[in-house]
Amino acid sequence: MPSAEEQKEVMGRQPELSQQSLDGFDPNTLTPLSEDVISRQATVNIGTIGHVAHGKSTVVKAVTGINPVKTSKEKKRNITIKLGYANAKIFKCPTCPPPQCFIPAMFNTEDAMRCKVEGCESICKLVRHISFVDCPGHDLLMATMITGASVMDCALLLIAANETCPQPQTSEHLASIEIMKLDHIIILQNKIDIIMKDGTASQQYDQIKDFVQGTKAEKSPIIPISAQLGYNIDVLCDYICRIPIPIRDFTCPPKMSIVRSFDINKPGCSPSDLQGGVVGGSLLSGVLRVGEKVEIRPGMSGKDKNTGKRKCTSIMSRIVSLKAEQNDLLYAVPGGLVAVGLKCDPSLTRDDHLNGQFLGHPNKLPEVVEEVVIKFYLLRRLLGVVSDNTKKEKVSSLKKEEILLINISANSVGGKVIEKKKSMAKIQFLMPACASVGDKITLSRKIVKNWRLIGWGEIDKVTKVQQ
Amino acid sequence: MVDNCQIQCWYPQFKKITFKVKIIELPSEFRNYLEEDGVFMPQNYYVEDDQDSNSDEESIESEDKTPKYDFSALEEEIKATVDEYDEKVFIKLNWSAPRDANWLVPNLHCESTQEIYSLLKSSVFISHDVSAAYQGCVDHEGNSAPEKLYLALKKYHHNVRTHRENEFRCFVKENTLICVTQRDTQVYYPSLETQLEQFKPLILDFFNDHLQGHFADPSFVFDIYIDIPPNNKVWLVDFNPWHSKTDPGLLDWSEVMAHPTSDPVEWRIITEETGVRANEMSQYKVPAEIVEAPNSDEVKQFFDDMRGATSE
Repeated sequence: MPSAEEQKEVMGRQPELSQQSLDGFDPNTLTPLSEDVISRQATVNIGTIGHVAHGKSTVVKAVTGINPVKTSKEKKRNITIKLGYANAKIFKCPTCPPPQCFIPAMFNTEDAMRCKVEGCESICKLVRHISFVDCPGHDLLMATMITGASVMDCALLLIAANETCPQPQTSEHLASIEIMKLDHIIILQNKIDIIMKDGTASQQYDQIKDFVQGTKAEKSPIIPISAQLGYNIDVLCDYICRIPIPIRDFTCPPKMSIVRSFDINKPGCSPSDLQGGVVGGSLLSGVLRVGEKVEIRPGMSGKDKNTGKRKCTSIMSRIVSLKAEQNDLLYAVPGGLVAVGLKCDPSLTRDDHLNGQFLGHPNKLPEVVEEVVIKFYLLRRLLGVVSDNTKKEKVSSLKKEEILLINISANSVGGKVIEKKKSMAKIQFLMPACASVGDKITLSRKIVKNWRLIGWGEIDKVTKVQQ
Repeated sequence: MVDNCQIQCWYPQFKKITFKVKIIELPSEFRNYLEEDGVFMPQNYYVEDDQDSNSDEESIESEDKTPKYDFSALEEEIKATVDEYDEKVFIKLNWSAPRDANWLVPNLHCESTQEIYSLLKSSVFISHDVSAAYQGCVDHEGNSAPEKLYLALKKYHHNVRTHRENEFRCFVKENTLICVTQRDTQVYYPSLETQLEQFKPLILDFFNDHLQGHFADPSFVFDIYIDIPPNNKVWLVDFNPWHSKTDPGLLDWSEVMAHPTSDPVEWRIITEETGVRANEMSQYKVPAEIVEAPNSDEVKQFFDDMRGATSE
């Protein structure tokens, strides 16, 4: 654990935020609304779903106050793929009436923010810290689908007010909400300023109502907004604050799904200036603390020179820093993406080496395996995809020596079919992966130009990799 | 002009300023091998039609079947090159490297023909080179596939793969360098801002000395890697067509197109901490259904069934 001085130094970099401390720290006392937590880290994940042209980035910008990607010259384009995560705080003014009392602010805004209304200037209360997840990364999305546990607590579904509803993509977006297991949806009728005058807004409202009839979004609020003009953003914040607080278990051992890993050192810098490796990911459960020992599995793999077999060494390290966006933390809870600075050789984390791996307490993570026996189920025919004109071909059985794409949690590995008997198959992982008996995996085959789902498997037996 | 960006076309002229590469012309059947469904080693595709085993009966195992492909001559050549390059190569087809398939072979660092074949077979980028490379090209009517396929084996340079902040994409319009962007568009490198000032003259000199007026087209895009100190040597990595299909990095094609050649070079890097972002390659690590998910009724059903299934 870092000393009291060290903790003070880290926290003191942002004196305007709550000063976390690890002395006498008890995760049992924390909730996703604890001031010490939300002062620095987001605890509610909100997906933004909608067409780029419907003003997705503008909505995120209107709430977070930040542009998705900062480059040396401000970009004018709305780039969805490059967005990612953006965090924001929501404050409540004790004096102003609702909904004006709900004020969005940047992730690093001081806790004692003053209301901006002229003549009011009351000290506001921080009520939420949210993380917009535009594109959580397909690996995390896949993990959601496999395990059924969503990475998002709520979704904003964007509809452009100047178009009739439904647009073809809107149905797709609604479907993707269903698939991501999202229960809480807020529908935004964006660009309301364009149609405010001609009275078509209520007409579209009715169209939307009809459209969501019988879907998960049936009872969702529909809020007319103009992200461009900042109109009704307070109403949106009000509704965001009404989302039930996600239930999180802070007391179980931490488990983080790594989605990025990098080395931020300047090439060729001297060893004394070298900073340790950094991994970024989504904390699925538990709490991580600065100073504690962690393990990354499967870790580094190499080949045995003599046998040619893959060997694996998990990475044992210590957390030296935790960050949510640019806010320093002493402890991290589930919510948004967290960057974990480690005391390990930065070359281990370079270039996304560790993507798909898990970080947690030593000896608390799933076993690292090189071979699994699965009971498999194959689709009769391929599912349809738009980009491919292939008809819904029949799916042929697994064949010996065939290499499949195996998705297991947020990880992707090549898997070679070694043996097959009826509905059981032995699969050799071309890279060691974390897996446990009972885990579900998806099986995909390269067909024409793409990897296509052909079935799934349930792990029946595992063969651990030699350490 | 897309043709000029193929490695077998530009390499002979620019070999002095790029990494050591061995280019092998692939036998014509290799295209068929690459286009076969499934990922197998060449010897595991058989002459007889074994696709009809839709019944769940055990198909007769392969012992008495004749392998469909025999690339032993090619295999020898690859092996010899891998040996020569210290058992570490980075591969590329006419245009593309199988960067999307790095989940299969970490860092795309190949040591054996098996790894090379499985990467070529698994990569969506390679499939595109093989069958649809000329899609969207105005100067290429008819066939959308290249006539001949070439495999380039590059000597593996560890630093190139691991110091992505030293990689840049440069845009040349009518033989004038107009824009340069950080190649890794996702990570903020704190040191890059100061480094860039040292890099600027290196990049300009490199362009003026080696590329200006030398490439087959007046407008093109090239990628470079700058060696880590103390070397600071600039290496040519690749050429790409001047076309909106070429990834513009942190730039926008509309601004690149509109940039007057008389204006100073536009340098674009990420200048602020961005927080952790999803990896842009993550879409290639999952089946296409997940990325396109439009007919999600089916996909939803699939995952519902999968999660619901329990072994009894």
